[in-house]
Amino acid sequence: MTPPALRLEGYRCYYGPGSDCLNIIDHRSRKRRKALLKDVQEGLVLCEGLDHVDFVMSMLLPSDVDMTVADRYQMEAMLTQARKPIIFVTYEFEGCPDCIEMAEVVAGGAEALRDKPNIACYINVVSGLRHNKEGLQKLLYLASKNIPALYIPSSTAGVTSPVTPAGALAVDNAGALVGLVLSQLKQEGAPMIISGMPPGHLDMRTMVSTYAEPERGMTQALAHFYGLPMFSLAGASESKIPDSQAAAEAALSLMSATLAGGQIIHDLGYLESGLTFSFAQLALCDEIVSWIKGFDRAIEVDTESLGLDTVTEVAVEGQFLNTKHTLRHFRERWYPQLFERKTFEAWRDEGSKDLIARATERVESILAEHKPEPLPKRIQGKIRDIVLRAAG
Amino acid sequence: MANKDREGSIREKIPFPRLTGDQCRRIHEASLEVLDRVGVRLELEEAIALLKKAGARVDSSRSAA
Repeated sequence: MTPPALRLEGYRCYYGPGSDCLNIIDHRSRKRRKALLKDVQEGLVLCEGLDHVDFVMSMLLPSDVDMTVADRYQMEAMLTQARKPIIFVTYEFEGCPDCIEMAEVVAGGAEALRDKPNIACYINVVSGLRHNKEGLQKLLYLASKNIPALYIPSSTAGVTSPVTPAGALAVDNAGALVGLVLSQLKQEGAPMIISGMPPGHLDMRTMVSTYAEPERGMTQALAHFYGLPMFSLAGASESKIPDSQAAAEAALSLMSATLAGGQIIHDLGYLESGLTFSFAQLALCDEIVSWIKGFDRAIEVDTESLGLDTVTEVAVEGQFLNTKHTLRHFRERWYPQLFERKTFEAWRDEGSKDLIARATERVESILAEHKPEPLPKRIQGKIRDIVLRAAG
Repeated sequence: MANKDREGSIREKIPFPRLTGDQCRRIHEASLEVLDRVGVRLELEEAIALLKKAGARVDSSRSAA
């Protein structure tokens, strides 16, 4: 039996981008501009090429297709460019059955997808108290299809729920419980994923609804209390460009979401409070996750790792560089791909590149080298038909 | 990459909870109290019907369950 797309249990964490940013920081020009369908496709190739991106989302809302059916174009791009699990978002209800139908084409039929779903639908609900029609329609439809629903009431603390973290969580959690009951009434055992992210709050100084806040970890604890799988948020920044603030907010939020056991951790690569996406920032998040996995790795304490025989051999006068023990184990150490460790001279001789320059180079090399294996022409044609049917 | 076994990052042995069990219970009870005292608005008939059948109180003048 093949394992599930993502094993959502305990403190096991998976990482991926978010969906639907309006803008992109073009990694070639470093300018902020409206997102295009081509950017969605490139972003997905990048996600496939980054080792620590475990699932994909659309990242961007393309401005060069009919906006009312942009979700179908995003799904087509995800199914054709990516082999990693997909979390999709649709605008109106009709997008949801269309996207599932497209995934069924790739999976080889409705039954194959139902038995082993590698897609899930992220549903944003207005707040814990107010459940919009499309959200409820999607929830019940997904339950009937046995496709996982991420049912996430998303109030803004201070506006549609109390400003206090506990109060905001209690209100949105009430909505999550309603969603849970509804999905189980529709189809007992239907897969459902609840929120592992607290309601963002409206910064009363800027009137911006925030993404990168330290007041996190509560919602994950509550989901663990229920023993339900969860969808968390980290790797996002309020900064406008990939800079030191963006790196610090990404690192702190990814570390705290992992420590809290956030399971499906999304929004890696987000800037400007969810309005802008950056490939360089996503590559940086990939490096941060790699570091966190190095931190999180089980530590061996046994005869071999203690290496006392070698210590006795080397004794006080010798050194460990040329021992077999070093040769056996030095590769087990964590090595960075982006973080700089060279000598000053070596760094200067390679052009004195800063972190964002190195991240941008990594993006360019993955986009140049990584070629996703194309789907069979017949499958591509069927997916395209569904997109065109919606586009009218 | 596509075929890599997605093991994720595993922290089963050293949890780092930001809420105690008692705090979780308190929030859970607060959520139930919100449902009892305020209720929720569901903008879909089928959803209201499902909950009504399961015993929820419905104020149909306000489409609330």
